[in-house]
Amino acid sequence: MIDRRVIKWGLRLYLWQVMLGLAIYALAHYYLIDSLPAASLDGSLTSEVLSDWWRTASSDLSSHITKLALIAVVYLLGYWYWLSKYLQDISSTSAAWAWMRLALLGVLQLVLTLILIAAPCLLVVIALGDPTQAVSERPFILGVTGASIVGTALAVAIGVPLVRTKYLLSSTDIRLWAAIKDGYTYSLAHSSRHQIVIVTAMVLSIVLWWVSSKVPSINGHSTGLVLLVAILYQAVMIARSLVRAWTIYSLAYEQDRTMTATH
Amino acid sequence: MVYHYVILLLLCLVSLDSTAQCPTRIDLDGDHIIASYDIAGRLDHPAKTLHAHQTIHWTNTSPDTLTEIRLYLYMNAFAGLNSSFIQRQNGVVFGQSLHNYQEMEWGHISISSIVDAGGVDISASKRYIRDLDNNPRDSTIVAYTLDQPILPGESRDLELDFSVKMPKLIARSGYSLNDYYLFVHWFPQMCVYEEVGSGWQWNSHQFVPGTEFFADFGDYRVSLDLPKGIVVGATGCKTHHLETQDRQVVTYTASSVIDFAWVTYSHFDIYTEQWRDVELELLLPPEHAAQAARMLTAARQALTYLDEHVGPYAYPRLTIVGPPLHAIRSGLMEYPMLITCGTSYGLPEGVRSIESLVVHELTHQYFMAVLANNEKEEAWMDEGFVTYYEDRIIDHYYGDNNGLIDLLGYQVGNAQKSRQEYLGMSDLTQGSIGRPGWEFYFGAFKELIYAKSATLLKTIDNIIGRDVMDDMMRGYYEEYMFTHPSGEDFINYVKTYIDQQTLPYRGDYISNILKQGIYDASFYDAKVSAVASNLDEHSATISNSGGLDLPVTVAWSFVDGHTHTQVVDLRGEQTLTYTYGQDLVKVIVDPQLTNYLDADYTNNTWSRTTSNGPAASMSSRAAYWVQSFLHLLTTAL
Repeated sequence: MIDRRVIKWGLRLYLWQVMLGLAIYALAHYYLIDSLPAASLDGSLTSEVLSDWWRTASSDLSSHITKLALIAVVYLLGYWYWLSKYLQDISSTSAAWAWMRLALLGVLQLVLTLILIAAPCLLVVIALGDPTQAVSERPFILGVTGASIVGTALAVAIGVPLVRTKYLLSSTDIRLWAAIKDGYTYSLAHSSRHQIVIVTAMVLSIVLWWVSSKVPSINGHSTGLVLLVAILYQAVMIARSLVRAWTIYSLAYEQDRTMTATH
Repeated sequence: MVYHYVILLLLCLVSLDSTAQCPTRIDLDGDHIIASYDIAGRLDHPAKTLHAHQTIHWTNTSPDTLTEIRLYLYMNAFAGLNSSFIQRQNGVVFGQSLHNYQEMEWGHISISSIVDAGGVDISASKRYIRDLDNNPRDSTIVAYTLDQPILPGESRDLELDFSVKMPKLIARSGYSLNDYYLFVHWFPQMCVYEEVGSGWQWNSHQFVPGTEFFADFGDYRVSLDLPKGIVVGATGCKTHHLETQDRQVVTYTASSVIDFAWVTYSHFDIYTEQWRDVELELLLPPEHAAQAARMLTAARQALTYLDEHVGPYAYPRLTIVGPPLHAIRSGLMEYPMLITCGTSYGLPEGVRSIESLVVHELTHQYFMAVLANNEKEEAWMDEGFVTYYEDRIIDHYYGDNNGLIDLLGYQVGNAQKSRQEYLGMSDLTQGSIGRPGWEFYFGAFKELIYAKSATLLKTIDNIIGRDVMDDMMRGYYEEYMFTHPSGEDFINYVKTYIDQQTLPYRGDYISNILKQGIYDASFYDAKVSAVASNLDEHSATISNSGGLDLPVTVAWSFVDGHTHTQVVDLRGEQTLTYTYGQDLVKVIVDPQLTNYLDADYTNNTWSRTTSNGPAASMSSRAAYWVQSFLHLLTTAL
C-alpha cells in the first residue's frame, strides 16, 4: 500500500510545476498576441510568417533568455522548498538543512551526469583520433553515439544513487542522512529503477509532443486532438511527479525507518 | 617512361573521334567548339604529381589577329600563402587554416615547354597576368607570345608538357590521406577571347575567392596512367581501360564540355543506373552505402524534373561522387558530367541535405555546363538559377513545408530555407547580386548569389505564373545552350518573351523588376501602415520601405463576407480607398504570399479582430519545452 503522503506530495510537486507551466504559457501568449497582431488574425500562420516572426523575436534573444532564467530560478527554489517540506513530513530532518543539502545534491548530480556522459565520449575521441583524418568515419560516429548512450545509462542507473549516497555519507549530523548511509544498496536496486521509469515517462512525453507536432493545430482545425495530447502530456507529468515522490519516500522514509529499527 | 607514353600514344591513335564516342544528347553543329584538349598523363603517386603532355586545339573566332595566348594555371593558387586566392582569405579556406601547411602539402603547376606551329618552343615568352591586384606572387594566369600570329578563323595546335603537383586538399583540389585525389584546375586551360562592346579581348582574371569557371566549349580526350587498383571517375565516357602488372591506363572522352575533372580512390564502391539513355555512375565509400539509393533517386528526380521544365539533359553520362569524410573539402562542387556531394555515415532520412546536394550540383549541368555563363563575373547566373530549381525540385518531391528537413516534427522546406538565408542577412542593402565574385570579398556571397537570386526568381515565377515561367525558361535554355549567356542576355530574353505573351504585364515591367532585384541593393517589405473608415468610405495606407518595386494584390474583407481585391504597383507609400456600406474587418497585402522576397510577412495584415488560436498553439509548445527542461533538471532529486 502506497503511503498517502507520497500521493499528496507528488501531486503538490506536480501542481508547482503546473503553475510554472501556466506562468510560461501566459507570458508566451501575451508576448505572441502582442508581437503577432497581424499574422494571427485569421489563424493562417504559414511557415514563412512564423519564421519571419521568429527572426524578429530572436533579435531580442538575450532578453527572452533572461526572463526564462528568472523563471527557472524561481521554479527551482520553489521546488526545493516544497521538497524540504516533504522531507520534513516523512522524516525527522531539519527543513533548513534538507533544503540546502538538496540544492547542493542537485548540482552535484547534474555535474556527475554530465561527466558520466562526456567522459566515455572523450575516451572515444582520444582513442579514434580526428575522424576527418581517418579512412572510415563510422567507428567514430558509432563510438560517440554508443558512448553517449552508455554514459546516460551509467548516470541514470548508478551515478545518481552513487552521488546521493556518497554525498550523504559525510552528513552525520542529521539522522536522515545517517539512515541513507546504509541505503546505498537499496539506492542501486530501487532508485535506479525509479530513474528508468522517469526517463521512460520523459520519452513518452517527447513522443506525445511529436504526435502533436504532426497535427495541423496552427490552423486551428484540430483543437480536440490538441487538447487530448495536452491532457495526455499532463498525465505523464503527474506520473513523473508521483514516481519522484515515491523515490524520495523510498530513500528517505523507508531507510529512516530501517535505521530506527536498527539503532 | 617511354613504354608508358607508347601505350598512351596507341590509345590516342585508336580513339581519335571523341564526339562519336561520347556524343551529346542534343544535336549540335559544332560551331561552339573552340578549345579542345588531348591530354596524356602519368601519375607519380608518391610525389602526388602528374606529368603530362597536352595538345590544345584552339580556334580564333574573333576578327582579330592574335599574337599571344593566355592560359589558366589555377593550381598555382594553391602554391603558398601568398597567392591572391589564399591571401585574400587570410590563409583560411573553407574554415581550414593553411598556415601550418608543409612544403610538400602545397600544389603548383608548371609548363616545361609549349610548342607553337612550326615547332618553336615559346615558353621563354611567358609573362603572368595580374589584372585584379598586381600581386607579384600570384601566377594563376599566364600569357605566351606566339611565334606565328593566329589569323581570324584560323585554328592552331599547341603542344605542351606540364607537371602538376597536387596539394593536400584545398578548395576541392588535391589529395587526401593515401590515394583519394580530386583533380580540378589541373591542366593549362585556354582563357576566353570574347567580344566586349565594340571590340574583343581576353577574359583572363586571376583566381580569387568568389570566382570559378569561364572557359570555351571543347572536346576532350584524357588518358591517365595510374596505379592499378584505384577506382577512377571522370568527366565524359570511359572509352578505354588497359591494365599492366602494376599500372592501369584509362581514357575518357567528352564532347562539348567546358572543363574536365577526375577523381580516384581505392575504397570507392561503384553503383550504376540508367535514366532513359543516360548512364548514372555513383562512387561512394562503403560506409555511405545506405545513402546510395537516396542519391540515385534524387538524381533521377532532378533529371526528370529538369527535362520536363527546362530541357533535355545534354550529356550521355553523369558521375556522382560522394567523398569520404576525410575528403569532404572536395565535395559540394560541379564539373561537366561529374559532381561531388557530401554526407556522413548515419544521416537520418528526414534530413535531406544529401538529396538537396545531388539536385543542386546536378542542376549545374544545365546552368554552368550548358548555359556556360561567366561565373567569375556573374555567379548568380548559375548559382541563382540552380538554387531556384533545387528549391522547386526538392519541395516538389518531398513537400513544400518539409522538403529539406522533416525530423521529429521539425520541418523546413527548401525554398523556405533559401528565403530565410537571404532575409537572415544583417543588412539587406549590403550590396547587389550582379557584381563580380571578387567584389564580395568576405561577405554575403551565398546569401545574395544563391539565396536572394533564387527568392527573386521564385517571386518572378509567382507573378507571371508557373506555366509561363517554365515556357520562358525552356525557350531561354534552347536559345542559349552551349553559349556564354550574360545577365543582360537573360533580362533581354525575358523582356522579349513577356511582350509576346498575353499577360497583364509588359516585358519592360518584369525585366525592370529583375534589373532592380539583381543590380540594386534594394529590398522589398510591404506592410499595412494604417486603416481608417468613415461611414462607407474605407481607406488603407500601404507601403514598401525597401525600394524594390513589385506589383501586389490588396484584399479587403467586410463584415458581411464581401471581399474586394485590387492589384497595385507598390512604390513607397500609397493610400487606397474603397467604398462599401459595411464594416471593414480585414486588409491583407499579398494574401497569397506571391512576393516571396517580402522581408517581413508579419506586417502584411490589418484586422479588426484577432484570433487567439495560433498564439495559443505556439504558447503551448513553448510551455512544453521549458516545463520539460526544468523537470529534467530536477529529475535527479
